[in-house]
Amino acid sequence: MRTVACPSQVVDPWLAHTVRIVSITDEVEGVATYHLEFADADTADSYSFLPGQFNMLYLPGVGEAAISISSDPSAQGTLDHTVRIAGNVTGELARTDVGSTFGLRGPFGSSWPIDDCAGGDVVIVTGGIGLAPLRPAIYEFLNRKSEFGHITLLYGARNPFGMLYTSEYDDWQLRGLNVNTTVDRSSQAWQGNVGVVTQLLDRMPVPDPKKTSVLCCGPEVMMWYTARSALGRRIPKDRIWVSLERNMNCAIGLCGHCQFGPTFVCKDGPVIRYDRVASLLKVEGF
Amino acid sequence: MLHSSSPEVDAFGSRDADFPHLVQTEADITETPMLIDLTDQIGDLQFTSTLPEEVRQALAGIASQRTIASGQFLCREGESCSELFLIASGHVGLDMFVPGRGQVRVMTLGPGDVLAWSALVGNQGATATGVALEETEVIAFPDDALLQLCQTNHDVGYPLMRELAKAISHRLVASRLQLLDLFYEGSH
Ligand SMILES: Cc1cc2nc3c(=O)[nH]c(=O)nc-3n(C[C@H](O)[C@H](O)[C@H](O)COP(=O)(O)OP(=O)(O)OC[C@H]3O[C@@H](n4cnc5c(N)ncnc54)[C@H](O)[C@@H]3O)c2cc1C
Repeated sequence: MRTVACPSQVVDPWLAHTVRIVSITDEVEGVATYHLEFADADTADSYSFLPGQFNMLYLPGVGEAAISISSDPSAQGTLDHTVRIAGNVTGELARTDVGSTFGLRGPFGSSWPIDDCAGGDVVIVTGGIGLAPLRPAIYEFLNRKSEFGHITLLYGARNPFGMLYTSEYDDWQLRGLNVNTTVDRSSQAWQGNVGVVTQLLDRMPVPDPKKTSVLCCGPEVMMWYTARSALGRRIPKDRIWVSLERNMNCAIGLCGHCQFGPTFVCKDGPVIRYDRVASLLKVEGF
Repeated sequence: MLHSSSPEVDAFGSRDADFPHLVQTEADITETPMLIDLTDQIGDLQFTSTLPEEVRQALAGIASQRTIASGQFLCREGESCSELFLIASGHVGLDMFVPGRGQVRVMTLGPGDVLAWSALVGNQGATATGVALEETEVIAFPDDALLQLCQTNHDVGYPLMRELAKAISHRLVASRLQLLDLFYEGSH
C-alpha cells in the first residue's frame, strides 16, 4: 500500500476484491480490529487510500457495510478496519475467524485535510469508535510531524474500558502527539479526566486560532458541540472538519440513501468542512 | 477555607464517605502576599479574560493566589465554602457522595474553570467536593467581599454574574452531554 497525493480513485467501484483476515485484535467490548490482506498480489500492490476514507465490506449472503480504514496509509502491513457490532454485517463479521475471506470495495469518500493543516496546530477531537477513522490521520501527522505545530488528541469515552488503541498512546506521545483522554463515567481506579470531551477543548491553550485546525469524528451531537467550542475559541469555521457517517448503501452517490439536499455523504463525505455541513448536523430522520 | 485530606487519603481523593478529621496542613498551602497585583493573571484566565480592565482590577483588589497541594480539598459537599476559586493551573476533581458507592467523581476541572460558586448564588452548602488532583494554582475570592463588590458596584457585578451564568450554563450543557451517554452505542 502507498499514500497518494490526490484522493484515491476506485477503477471499478462495483468490483469487490477478496480479502483474508490475517488477525483480529479485540479492542473493547463489542469492538474488534480486523487486519486484512488482499488475496490477489496485484490488488495489494495497487491499492492505496487516504486517511478518513472507507471501504464497503461485503459478506456474501449477508450484505455490505461501510467501514473506515483504520491503519497507517503509508505502512506496508495489513489493511485494518475497526468494527463495532451494530447489525447484520458487523454481527456476522464478529463470528468469522482468522483465515476467513470476504469481499471489499473501495476506497471511497473524501479524506482528512492533512495538507491544509500544515504550518499550524492541529486538534483532533473524537469519542468512542470515532477514533478509528482518525487513526490513519494520526499516523500521517506523526509521519510528517515537522510540517505541523502542536498536534493534540482529545479523546472521550463512555468509561475507562471504552477506549480504543490504548497500547499505542505512549508511542504516539513519544512521537509528538499530545494525548488527552476523558471519560463520561469514572471508576475508582481511573485517575484521569472526567467529563465530556468538549470541555478539554474549552480549556486547552489555543495560541493562534486562525492557524489551528480541528478534525472531529464522533456522535453528531458531540461534533455539533465540538464545533461550537472550537468557534468559541475563535477557530474559523473553515478550519473545522467533521466526518459524517450517515446510513449509506451504494457508496458512489447513485442510490440517494445518504443524500441530504445537494450533498451525498458517501461521495462528498464522509469528511466535510463544518461550514458546508453545519445545517446537516443534528437533522432528525436523515 | 481550605481543607486538607486525612493522611490515608490518596492524591485523588478516594476515601471514606465522611470526613472525620479535617487537618489543615499549612505546609500544603502557599498563599502569595497580597502585594502582588493579580490583574494580569486574572486577565489570562478564560473565565475572566473578556471582562473589562476596570473589572479585573477591582477583582484583583480582593483576590489572593494560592498553591494547593495534591489531595487538598477546596470545598466539601454540603459544607459552606467561603471563597470562589478560579483555577490557574492544575486539575481539581469534583466528587459527589453516593450511599453505597462512596465518592464518585462526576467531573474534572482544569485551567480557566471556576469552582465553589454556591455561596455566590445563595446556596448554603457546596454541591460537590473539590479535591486538587495535582499541585494546583488558584486565584481565590472571599465570598463576602465579592458579594459586596457586586452589590455596591454594578459595573463589576453585572459582567461578573454574566460570566458566572455563562460558566454555569456551559457546565449544565456538559452535564447533559454526559447524561446522554453518547458513546454507549458507539459513534455510528
Ligand atoms: C462512511 C462510514 C464509515 C463508517 N465507519 C465505521 C467503522 O469504522 N466502524 C464501524 O463499526 N462502523 C462504521 N460505520 C457504521 C457502519 O457502516 C454501520 O454501523 C452499518 O450499518 C453496520 O452494518 P450492519 O449490517 O452490521 O448493521 P445494520 O443491520 O445495517 O444496522 C444496524 C442498526 O444501525 C442503524 N444504522 C445503520 N447505519 C447507521 C449509521 N451510519 N448511523 C446510525 N445508525 C445506523 C440501522 O438503522 C440499524 O438500526 C461507518 C459508516 C459510514 C457511513
